[in-house]
Amino acid sequence: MNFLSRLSKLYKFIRIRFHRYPKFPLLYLPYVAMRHVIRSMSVSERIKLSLTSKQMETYVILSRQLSPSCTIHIDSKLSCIDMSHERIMFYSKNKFHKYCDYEIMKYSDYSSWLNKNSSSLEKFSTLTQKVLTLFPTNYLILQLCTDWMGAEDLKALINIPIFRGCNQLEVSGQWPRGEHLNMIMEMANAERDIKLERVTMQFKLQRYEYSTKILDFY
Amino acid sequence: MSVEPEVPIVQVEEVRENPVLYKIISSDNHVFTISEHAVKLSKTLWDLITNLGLTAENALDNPIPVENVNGKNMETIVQFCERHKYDEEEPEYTNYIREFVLPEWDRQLLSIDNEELFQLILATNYLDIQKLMDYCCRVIGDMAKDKTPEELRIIYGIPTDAEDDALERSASDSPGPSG
Repeated sequence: MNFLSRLSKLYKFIRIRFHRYPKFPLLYLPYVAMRHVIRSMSVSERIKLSLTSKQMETYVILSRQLSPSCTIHIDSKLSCIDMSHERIMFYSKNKFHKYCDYEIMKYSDYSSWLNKNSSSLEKFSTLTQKVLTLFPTNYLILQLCTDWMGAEDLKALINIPIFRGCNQLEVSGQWPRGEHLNMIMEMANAERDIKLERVTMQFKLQRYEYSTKILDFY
Repeated sequence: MSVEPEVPIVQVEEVRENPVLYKIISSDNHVFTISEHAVKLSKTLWDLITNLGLTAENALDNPIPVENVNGKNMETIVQFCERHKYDEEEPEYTNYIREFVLPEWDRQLLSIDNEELFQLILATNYLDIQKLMDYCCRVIGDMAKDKTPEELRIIYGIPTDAEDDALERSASDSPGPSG
């Protein structure tokens, strides 16, 4: 642990120990009022509140509201969850892309949710599960960037139930071939749209084979 | 030369003002007068008025006792209801995440200490005033702005999981009413 990190922890300790915070007995409110309080908070505030204790997490889950849509962007380098309606993005790492007025939550904000030793994909799927438990969505979009993604990675990814349950699958990057394409097309059903970006003539050759699937062209 | 119109100018407020007034008695026997439009914001009071069959003629002769709310809170509630009596109706309750900004007048009204705010929320909950409940809860929710989970635990008095478990253990170890 470097000097700056120790200093930051010491500052945090002193600030919490000696700062005079307003006190409000939230847990003593009637449930209806407590639910109102939780619902008056922003997405990030609710997440921080749910991190205070298991009991509070249950209350936050019970007070949950729908998000109109949520986009999960999976990239071999940096994956994120985008709740555009609430203007917030979640990253399972401490690295992130900053978008104009989006609020950002990163690994250090919810490190207790994620196992430090698990793989990036496991961390990200746990994060997605947690976020969607607190803020279920009406429409889940899964965006996959297949660049640098091996068949095994793709298989592991689309076998995760939370991702399998998406309402729309968008694939971008390198044109999926063979096994990749079969796995993607198996995700298609009457209630799910599949969108393939950067697709031109190559796709037309496959059209006959996948004529029963629901496809959108870009 | 301009000619002044002969039509009398009537204040919009006067036209909209409803002459029907009701009397409410708080738990510490303070009497408040509230207009019909304002009292409609409280579902509990309006249901009571409807069920008691109070009309414009007998409203002031039949004060409504509200045992669960003291004079101080009732004063705030009456002020709030009178201020918002002509507001447009809130859209139907939706289950979607929504954010709203607390108007400055209401922020001033609710700038009270947390103990009073707690009592006001209990009163608002009892009287079932949706808008005031939203505003009070917004004030409490605002305490969470830019705070860490540790800070939220202190502000809202949330016990840790270990404290919760200890409390549960001691409750299960203690003998019940029969034991």
